[in-house]
Amino acid sequence: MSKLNIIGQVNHLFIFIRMQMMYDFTDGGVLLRKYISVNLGWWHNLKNASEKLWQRFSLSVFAPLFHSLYPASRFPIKSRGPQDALIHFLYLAGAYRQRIPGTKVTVRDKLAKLLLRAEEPHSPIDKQGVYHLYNLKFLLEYAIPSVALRSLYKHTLLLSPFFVVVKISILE
Amino acid sequence: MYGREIEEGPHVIWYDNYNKMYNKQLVSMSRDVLKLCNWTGRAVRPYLGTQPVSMKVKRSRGEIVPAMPQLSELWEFTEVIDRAIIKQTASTIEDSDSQQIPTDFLDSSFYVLYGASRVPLKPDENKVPEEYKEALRHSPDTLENFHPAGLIEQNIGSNEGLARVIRKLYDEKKMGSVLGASHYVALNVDCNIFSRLMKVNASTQCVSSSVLFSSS
Repeated sequence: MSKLNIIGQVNHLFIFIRMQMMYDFTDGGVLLRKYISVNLGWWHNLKNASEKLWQRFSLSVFAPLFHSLYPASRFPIKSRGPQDALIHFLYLAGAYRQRIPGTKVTVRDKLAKLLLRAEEPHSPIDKQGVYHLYNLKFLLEYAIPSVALRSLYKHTLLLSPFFVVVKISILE
Repeated sequence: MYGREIEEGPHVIWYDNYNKMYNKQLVSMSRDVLKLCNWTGRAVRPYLGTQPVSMKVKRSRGEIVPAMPQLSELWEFTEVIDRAIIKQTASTIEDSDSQQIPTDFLDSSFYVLYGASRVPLKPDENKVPEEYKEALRHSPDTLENFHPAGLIEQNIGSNEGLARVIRKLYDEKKMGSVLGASHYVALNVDCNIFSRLMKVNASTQCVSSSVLFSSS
């Protein structure tokens, strides 16, 4: 039976490099690289970023929203597909700019007022509430417009879903 | 226009799993039988641009110009992308520290500017500038220009299946022959297949205080 023995300690170690089919160590992918151009369908960037966004904000935003919109329904934490996530993003973007029923204030204005209030010295909003407000603002002003509403058509913005994914990963 | 006709001109090939749809269509079949139906769908989409495009293999000084970059070039390109992402992320983090969302995109988003409020996402034709209207009406990305070109009895979702599908393409285009392939092949794939085909997981960073083991 083999045993593992410690033979030394090193200060520097190069991490294993792994390359798949087209760029493998044996260089067997040379012919593939010569003739085949592999491209990621741009729709899939959007799909991936939408799912990430759905999952990241499921606990704080999407699950409560889902249970409020569809009572007694099971919340799909992995989303039921990009179309489902995107339609909810669009609902949110629409509602965010609408007036709150019975008032002249939009949801956006109210959020901005609450954020100002949160920065006051003796604000009644606790730290958890402040984080939630900033998360909401991040979601509605930056993440959803980046993923669902801004990344279309202009090639210079096609990478924006990636930035959101990177940022969400950092927040996690 | 049929798949074979399209494949004679400039086109892209799509590969994707074909198991999910089949599963729904044959509800009366037993579960074990359905599991065997993990196939791969192949479709082609023609080039619709107005500029002439040739997919014939190009040569420079007698050597074939490769379709994909060499590894050294890929590193350079990856570094450029990395730097751009780090720059963008760093700027947003820096601003986040001061508790400000760096860029409020909503007002400049296509949702507000062009009424892109449907799924699949598409701007409202009445709200877009004139220069985009023709392209929107033309809609080259619809299924009208997407032509199924066959099913392959391999599961592209597995590594073995992916290798077999690529090998089939390799043989079909005669890439291993003495003369080589006459045309380049443009493949469009989803995230999963893309990752397994060419994702490069690499890091040259060093780790301190690591322990080496040997087996005896």
